[in-house]
Amino acid sequence: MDFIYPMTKIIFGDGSSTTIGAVLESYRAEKVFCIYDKGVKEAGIVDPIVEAMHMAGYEVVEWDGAQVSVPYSTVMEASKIAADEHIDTLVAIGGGSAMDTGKAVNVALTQPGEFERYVGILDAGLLDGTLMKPYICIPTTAGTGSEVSNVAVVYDEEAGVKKALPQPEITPTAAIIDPLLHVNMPPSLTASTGLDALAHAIEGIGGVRRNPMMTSWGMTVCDLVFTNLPRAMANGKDLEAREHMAMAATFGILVGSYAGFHLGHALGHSIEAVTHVPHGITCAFALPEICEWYADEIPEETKKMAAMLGVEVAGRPIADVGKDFKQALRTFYLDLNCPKTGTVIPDPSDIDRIIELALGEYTYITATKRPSRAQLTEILEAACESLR
Amino acid sequence: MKKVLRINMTGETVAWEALKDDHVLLGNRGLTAKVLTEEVDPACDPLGEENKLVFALGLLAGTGFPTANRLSVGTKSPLTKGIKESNSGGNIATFLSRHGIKLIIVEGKPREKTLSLLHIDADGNAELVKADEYAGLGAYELNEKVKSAYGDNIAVACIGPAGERGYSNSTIQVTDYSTGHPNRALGRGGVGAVMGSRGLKAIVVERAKKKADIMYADRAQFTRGTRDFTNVLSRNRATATAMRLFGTMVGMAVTGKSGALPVKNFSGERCMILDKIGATKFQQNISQRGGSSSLPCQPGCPIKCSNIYNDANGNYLTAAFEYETVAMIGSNCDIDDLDTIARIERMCDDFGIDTIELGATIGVCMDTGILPFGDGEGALNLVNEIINGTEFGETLAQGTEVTGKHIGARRIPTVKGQAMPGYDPRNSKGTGVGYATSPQGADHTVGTTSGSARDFLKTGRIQMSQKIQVLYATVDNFMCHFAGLPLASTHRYAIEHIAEAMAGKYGGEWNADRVFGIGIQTIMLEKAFNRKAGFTPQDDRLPRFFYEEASPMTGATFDFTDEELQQVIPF
Repeated sequence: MDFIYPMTKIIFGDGSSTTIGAVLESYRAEKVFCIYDKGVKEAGIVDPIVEAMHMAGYEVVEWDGAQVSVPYSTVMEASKIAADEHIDTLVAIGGGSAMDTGKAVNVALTQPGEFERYVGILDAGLLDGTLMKPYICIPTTAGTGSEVSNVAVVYDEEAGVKKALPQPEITPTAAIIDPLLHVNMPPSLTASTGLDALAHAIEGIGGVRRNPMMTSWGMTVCDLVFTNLPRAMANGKDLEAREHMAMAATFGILVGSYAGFHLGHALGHSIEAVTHVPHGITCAFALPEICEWYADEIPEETKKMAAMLGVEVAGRPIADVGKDFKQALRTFYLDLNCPKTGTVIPDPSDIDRIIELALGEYTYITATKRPSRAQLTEILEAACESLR
Repeated sequence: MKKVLRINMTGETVAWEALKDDHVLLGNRGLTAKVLTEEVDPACDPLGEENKLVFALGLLAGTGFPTANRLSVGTKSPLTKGIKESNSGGNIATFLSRHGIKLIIVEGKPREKTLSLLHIDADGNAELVKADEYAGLGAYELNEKVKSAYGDNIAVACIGPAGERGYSNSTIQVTDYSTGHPNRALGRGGVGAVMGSRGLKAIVVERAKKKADIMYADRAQFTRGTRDFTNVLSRNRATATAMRLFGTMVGMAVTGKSGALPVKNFSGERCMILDKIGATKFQQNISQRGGSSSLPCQPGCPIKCSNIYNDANGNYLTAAFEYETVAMIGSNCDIDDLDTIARIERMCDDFGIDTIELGATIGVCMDTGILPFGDGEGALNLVNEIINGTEFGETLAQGTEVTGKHIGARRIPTVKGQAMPGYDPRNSKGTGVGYATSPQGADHTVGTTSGSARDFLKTGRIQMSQKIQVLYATVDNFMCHFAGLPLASTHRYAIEHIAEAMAGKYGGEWNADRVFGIGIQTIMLEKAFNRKAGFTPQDDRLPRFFYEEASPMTGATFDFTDEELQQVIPF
C-alpha cells in the first residue's frame, strides 16, 4: 500500500465563512479573485463573505460567471481577467462547478501552453509552470467535496465531452466549510448532493486503493448520511443535521478520491452524459445493485453498512446480506423522494449507450470487481426496474 | 533441467547433451552469452555458417518462481553485428521446462535451401522435420497449420517471411499463453534472420506427458524465497496495480509527462496526441469492444500485464499490444489512431518484424519527407512494401540505419545499428546512457531510468545506468523484467528472496552480491564478445543530433562526455 494525500487545510464550523479574512492572512494575500455563480449571489451567500474580505483590507475582483460543468470558455474568460488584474489568490464560493472552475483557472493562469495539455485522466501533462496560486474554497452544498479534492471536471465544448483535470497541485489550499451556508438548500439539492457524498464513501470503501484509514472514515460518512440526510431533507434548518452532512461531504470525497471510485461513478457519469440528470442522483441510481454486486468483494464492510440500515447480518450468508442491503438502500433512496427511472433514464433505448460509455470510464476500468458488459447491463436494468 | 539439445542443420542431426557444470548457474541471457562466447567466433558473418542460435531458459524455469519461464535467444546479430539477446514470455519456455530442456543450440546451415521444423513430441523425442510446405507462411497461419498437424496442446516459436528472407529487422514469434496466437516476439536484433539462415522455420513443442523432475537442494528454502518474492510482487504498486490494470501502456502516462516519449522521429517535442493513443483511450477501446486486459502471457504470472485488443467490430485484432509499439509507431510517427497502430502490429507479428525498429524506420522516412508525419495509411503502405518485397521494402526491412543512410536522412536514432525504442535519450538520460553503453545496442531492456524524477538531468545518471544495467542483466538470467521492477524501487531488498530461492534450488551460500554477480558476469561476457567483434569505446555513443539539438520540451541535450560514458561499464 502506498498513497499520497495532498491534504487541504480544513476550517470547519457554523459561521466560519466570515473568518475568511484571517484565513487569507496565512497566504499573504493582497488581491483576491473571487469566483461564484449568479444563483449563489442571489441567495445572499456571497455578499457577507466578500464584505469580510473587504473588512480585512483585501482587494477583491469578483467574477460571477461560473457555470455548470465548467465549460472551457468560462475558464479562459476567468483566467484572462485574473491575469489582467494581477490577482495573487483565488477564492471560490459555490458548489462543485464553481469550485472546479477555480481549480481550472488556477492551472490556466499559472501554466504555459494550451490548457488541454493538462487534461486527461492518465495522460495529463505535468504542471511545470509557476507555482499555483493559493486557493480557498467555500462550498455552498454538502456533496461534491470539491473543496478538498485533487481533481476537477471540465467541459470541452468543442469536443462535447467532459474531461478530468487530475493534478494533485490543484487541490485547494484551504477549505472553509460553513454548514450555515447550507440551510437554504432546497430538499432536491440536499438529496442529490447528499447522495453524492454517500456514493463517494461507499465506492471508496470498495475502491482499488482502499485502506483501513479510508474505510473507517467511509463507514462514518455512511452512518452520518443514513442518519442526517433524511433529517436535513425534513427540516433544512436542522443545524445538527446540516453540520453532519457538511462533514460527510468533505470527508466522503477524501474517501472516494483517495481510495478510488468504481461502478457508481462509472454509471453515474455515463447516465449524466446522456440524460443530464444531477450528478448525485445518477451516481446513486444503481448504487443498491452495485452494493449487492460488491457484497462478496468486501463482505465485512458490506455487513457493517447493511447493519446501519437495520439489516440483520449476524450469521447470514453474504449473498443474503447483500440482497437485503440492496433493498434497504433502495428504500432509503425512495424515502428521500429522489427521481425515478422515468426522470433519470426515461428512454430505455439509452441503456446501451450508457453502458458503452460506462465501459470506457476510468472508474470502471479500475474497479476491483469488474462486471462484464452483460453483467453491468443487468445491474443498470435492475435499477431501472426497481425504480419504475 | 539439465538437458541440452544440439541441432545441426548441416547434417540435419539432433543430439542430446548434458548441461556443462559451468553453465548451471546461468540462465536466459547469461547462458546464451556463455555459449556464444565459447562456441562462436565474434568476427563471423551473422548469417553465415559459423554463427549459432542459442535458445535458453532461466535459472528457475519450471520451478514455480514467478515469471521464471521466459525464452531467450542469443546470437551474433545481423543488425548490430555484435552479441544479441532477445527474450519473450509466452508458453514455450513452460513447455520446454516440462521436458527438462534448458538449452537448444542451433548450428550449421543446410547445404541446399530448404526449411525444417524442430518437433519435440509429448514423450520428449526431438526430430527435424521437413517444412518446405510452410515456406512463406506468416506466423498466424503457420501456427494454425502446425496445430492441425500436432494438436492444440503445443507451444510454437517460429519465423515469418521476414526471417526467411534474411531481413535484419526480423523476429522470432512465440505463442502466447492466454490466446495461443503467435503474438509475442523475441523482437530485437534481427534474430529471425539468423533462424531463417539456418533453414529453421519453427520449433514445435508438445506438452510433455510427464513433467521432468526439478531437483532442489532444499525445497523448503526455495519455497520460502519464492513465496516472499511473490508477496513483494503482490504489494508493489507497479506490479500489483498499474501493470495489471493497464499493462505496459501505463508507461505512456509516465513518458508523455516527462518528454521521454519519442515524438516525430525523436524531435524532443511534447506529444500532443496522448488523448488519442494514451493509456486511457487504449483501455477504453479494450473495455468497450470486449477485449481483455490483466492477462498472463506465461502460465502462473501474477502480474498479468497482457491484453487482447479487438477491432471496432469486436473481432480479435491483436494481443500483447504494448507501450513500445504505440510509442514508436504512434507517437514517434505522430499517428493518432490506435486501430491503425494495432493493424500494423498485427501485420508485424504475422510477417515477423520488430515494431520498435519499424516505428523508428518509418519515423526516419517521415522526417526525411518520404511521407508526412501522422500518415497512418502511408505507414501501412510501407509495411506492405516490406511484405511485398519491393525494392524500397527490402531496404526498409534492413532496419532504421540502413534505411536512413539510403534515403540520406540526417537524424537516424540508432546505436550500434539498432534503433532506439520508446524513450528519448535527452529526456530520459539514464536510458540514453544505457543505449550508448550497453553491448546490446539501443535497447530499453538493458535498463531504463524512465520514471525517475527530472530524468532530463544528467545528475547521477552514469551511476544510475550502471546499477540498472547490472540489475536488468541479472533479472535477465531469471525472469521477466516486470517482476524485476520492485528491485529497481522501494522493494530492492527483495533481491534477498531471489538469493534464498537460489540457495534452495542450487545449494550453497547465496546473498544479494552473488545474485548481482550473475548480471555482472553476463555483461562482461557480452562486452568481451563485442570487443573481439571489433567494437571500441567509440561505438558507445549516441548519434550527434542528440548532443546538438535541444529538446524543445525540456531544453535538454544529451550532454555526456566520452569520459563519462566510459565510466558506465568499466569492466
